[in-house]
Amino acid sequence: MPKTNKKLIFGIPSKGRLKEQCEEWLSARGFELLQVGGSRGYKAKFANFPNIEIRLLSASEITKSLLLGEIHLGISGEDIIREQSDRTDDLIQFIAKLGFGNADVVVAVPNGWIDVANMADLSEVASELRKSRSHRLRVATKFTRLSAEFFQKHGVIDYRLVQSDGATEGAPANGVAEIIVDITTSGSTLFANNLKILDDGLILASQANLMLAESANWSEALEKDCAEFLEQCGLNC
Amino acid sequence: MGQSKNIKIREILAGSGGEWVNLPSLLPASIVLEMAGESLRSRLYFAMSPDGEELCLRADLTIAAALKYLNEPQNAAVTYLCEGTVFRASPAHENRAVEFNQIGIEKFGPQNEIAVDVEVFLAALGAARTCKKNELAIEFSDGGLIPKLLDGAHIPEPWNQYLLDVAKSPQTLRRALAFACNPNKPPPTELGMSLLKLDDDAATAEVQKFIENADFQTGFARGPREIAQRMKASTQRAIATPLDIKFSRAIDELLAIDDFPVPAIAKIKNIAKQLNEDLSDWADAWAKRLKLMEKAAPGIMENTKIIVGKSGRFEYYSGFNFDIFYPNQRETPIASGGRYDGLIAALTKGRSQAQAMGVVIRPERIVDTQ
Repeated sequence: MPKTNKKLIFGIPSKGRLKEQCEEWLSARGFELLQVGGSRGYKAKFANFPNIEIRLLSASEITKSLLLGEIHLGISGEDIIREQSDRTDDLIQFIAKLGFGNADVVVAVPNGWIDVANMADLSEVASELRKSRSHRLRVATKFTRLSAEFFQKHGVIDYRLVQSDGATEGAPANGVAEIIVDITTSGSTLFANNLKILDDGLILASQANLMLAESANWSEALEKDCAEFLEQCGLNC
Repeated sequence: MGQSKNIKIREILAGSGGEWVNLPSLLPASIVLEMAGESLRSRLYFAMSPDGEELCLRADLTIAAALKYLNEPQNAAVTYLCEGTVFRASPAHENRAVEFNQIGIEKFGPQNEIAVDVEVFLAALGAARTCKKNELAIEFSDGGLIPKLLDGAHIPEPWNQYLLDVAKSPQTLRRALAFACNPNKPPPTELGMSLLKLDDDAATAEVQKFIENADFQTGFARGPREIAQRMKASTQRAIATPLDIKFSRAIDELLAIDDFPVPAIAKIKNIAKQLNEDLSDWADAWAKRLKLMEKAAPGIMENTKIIVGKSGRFEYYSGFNFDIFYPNQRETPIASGGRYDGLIAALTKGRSQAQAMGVVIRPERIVDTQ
């Protein structure tokens, strides 16, 4: 039996631009984030809302904790949480899109593939490559779940995912894969690496979301605190 | 009871010979995904070897057995009898066991195809009947039927090759047929039209020039020659007369066949005839297979269906395949088997070929009602 929390636990990104944008978003709604233990501490609180315990975590730790019900609320990217679990819609309530942290998960191919404009073209090319080279088209990505679902939806079968945890846009040039699935905001990094986004290659238009964990330990008091917090944010649960 | 049931199953499967072998539980993930396809990824459990190689727990016994066969002398005919735990993650919303026991036969090397199909099927049927009081239902399919039909049918080019390339997947085939029959295709590009007038070398040079002028990068597994060839082919499709809708209707009708073996085969032959294809040899082989099965297991065809558009098999099943299950429990088969003649060639990138047929039994699904 999990211990009943006395406070609402809220996961917020611990550093970087995303943390700054979260602070701005909260501040605009009257919540000042006070970091406990100085700027390097990993706990924080709201001066005007003592019933919320704030944990400063990485974006992926926030989504994992939400999926496990270890925290009640969290701010992170939709791309991250949907990649982590195929039960996201059962476990998580997306309360609000926050308008920052925008990142599109896209399928990008070498720009020299002038005959490939869309997923149907890619499906054909994958089958041709498999026939002529006896191996499947390699797709470098850290988004294996999202990629597999999207490729299946578009009837692409002759491909194989290659796990890539960084500098994915360099994978084709390095011979690790032929194409990639990655996040992009402006497309400029892809362009600089001689890649182009397929016309129908948008897998997910992601941004930072305020999310609620359905499986967290919710007491009546915590539900009330949550409703009050969201109301002050101008949101409904 | 579980132990004695397993002993009985082992005895039945070993009835026609073979050697009990141990197969590895951990396999290179890249090989498994290359063979079975990425649709399997969400069902796999992954691990990392100390040297950084990505491994996965086996999701069936077949790939592990095929890897073992690669160590046999060239063209050896072997029968592996195998048993062990396999691991498959349960999809969301399904509460399936994620590790379970399988007992199976895997036959590799030169073989009389029909005789081995029947032998393996009957062994599986015998094992499924270990607990005698349950009725069984059976589904047959043939992973080689659609490619064979399209290969022989008089479908005009450029559509014949286009459809053949996607024949192994009903979903992709349906999409390709919809495109082929569509009278309002997107118009071809100017570059594509200009390439049609050129031979392959000139078309390659033209594509190279286009890519350089645009300051695009060449390479990445596909050079100007492959791109030029595909642009020519897709331009030909864009300006070709749309495929007669009768082909699409015939294939749809074919994929929808779900009937007892004799009428199903008659329907398949009839559809082939509409496409000017003679499937007599194929039908004769099936008739022979069914006759041998019926002789050994009288009455079995009363509970058997042929389902042409059967899905959900691993990609490497390429010919006759079957599931045995309790009526109304087709999602949880007791035994699943089939022919996968292309697997050894795929594993060795064409350096070796071997016929292959196998089956696995799920002992815990065999319910004892005696």
